[in-house]
Amino acid sequence: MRGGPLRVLGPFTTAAALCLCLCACAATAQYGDPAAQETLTIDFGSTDLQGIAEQMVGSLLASPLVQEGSRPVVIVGRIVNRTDEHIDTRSVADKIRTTLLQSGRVRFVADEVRDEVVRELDYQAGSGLVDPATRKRLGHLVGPGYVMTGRITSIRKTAGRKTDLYFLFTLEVVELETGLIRWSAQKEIRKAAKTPLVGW
Amino acid sequence: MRAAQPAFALVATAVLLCAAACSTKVEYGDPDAVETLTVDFGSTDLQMIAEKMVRSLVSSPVIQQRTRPVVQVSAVTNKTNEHIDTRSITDKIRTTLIQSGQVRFSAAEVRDEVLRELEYQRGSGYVNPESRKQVGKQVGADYLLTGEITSIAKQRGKVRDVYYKITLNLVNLETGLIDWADEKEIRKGER
Repeated sequence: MRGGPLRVLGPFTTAAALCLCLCACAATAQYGDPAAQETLTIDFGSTDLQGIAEQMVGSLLASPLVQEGSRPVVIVGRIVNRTDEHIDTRSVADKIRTTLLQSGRVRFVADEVRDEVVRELDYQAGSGLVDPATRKRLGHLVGPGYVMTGRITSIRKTAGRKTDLYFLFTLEVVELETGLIRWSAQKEIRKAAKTPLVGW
Repeated sequence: MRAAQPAFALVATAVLLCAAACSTKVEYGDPDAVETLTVDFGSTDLQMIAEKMVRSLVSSPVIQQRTRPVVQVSAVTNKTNEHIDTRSITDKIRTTLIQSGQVRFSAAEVRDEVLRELEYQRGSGYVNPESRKQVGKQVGADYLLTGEITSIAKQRGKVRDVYYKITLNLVNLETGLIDWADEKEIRKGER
């Protein structure tokens, strides 16, 4: 009678408690493939960003604007987020810009550090501290021929447990001299979500 | 006496559990080890970003075709929803590139201090004229290193997904053109 039911339960409880504790405390985060399709929620996500950039880059590189081998100089303008959610449109523009730059067929003016470039040029030229032989020349900034601008809009519909989300991304390349739109492309995305009766 | 034994086992179990759960144990680890304690930005992300950027930059024509260009680190904007010290990312990149010997960096962050020291050497009367540093010998930078880090963080119940994208640009100071750019994407999940 020395080993009653509780006696057996003791180690068992310990093991179960330890197991629970381990499950709760162990690292649950893990790295994944950034290019993998992400459909955790219906909201704008990495897959949308990547899909938009891929389509825009493909379309622009196939256009006559870039085909002529002139390596046009482009400046990124505003990409307006007209949807009902937070989207970092600059991140979309950055992806398009980096991919185009890496293709070697389009050049970009660094719009975001224009002021800083001028400040540094002024420091080199005017502070008297910089070796004249290493001073960068003034008046050699390359003027862009085109400005890249665009919009992202959405239509979100909900009926009962179903949601339908439609994104429309428009990108335009405007010639600075004529003011004409020399290239334009769009990317449409549809996503659907259905919330279960139980759970989230 | 018989009933006391199971009770003793239970108490011992409880004490053991408590000891395992309550005592904090600190130990050193490998700083290069993959850290996935939480989904938030961590050391492994920092290291992966720096490694990719250094590799890309060193193999780029910008570095290959010029003799040891002079770069100045500018701001890398953190546009994520969490605290990230982007300076530590550019510091890691800068240190690795300096150690490679292929890129030189001008220290814009201590410009004022350099100027104060030059003036002290020249104007204080305390410094041996032979050892005074010459004014007007600073090396003008060829490039600015800029960038930004953005993220898309999603959550559904207990499941989290974070997508980071960091972009770095090397801006030619004379032309204002971006001579090199690259990005690093990172995905992390938690459930």
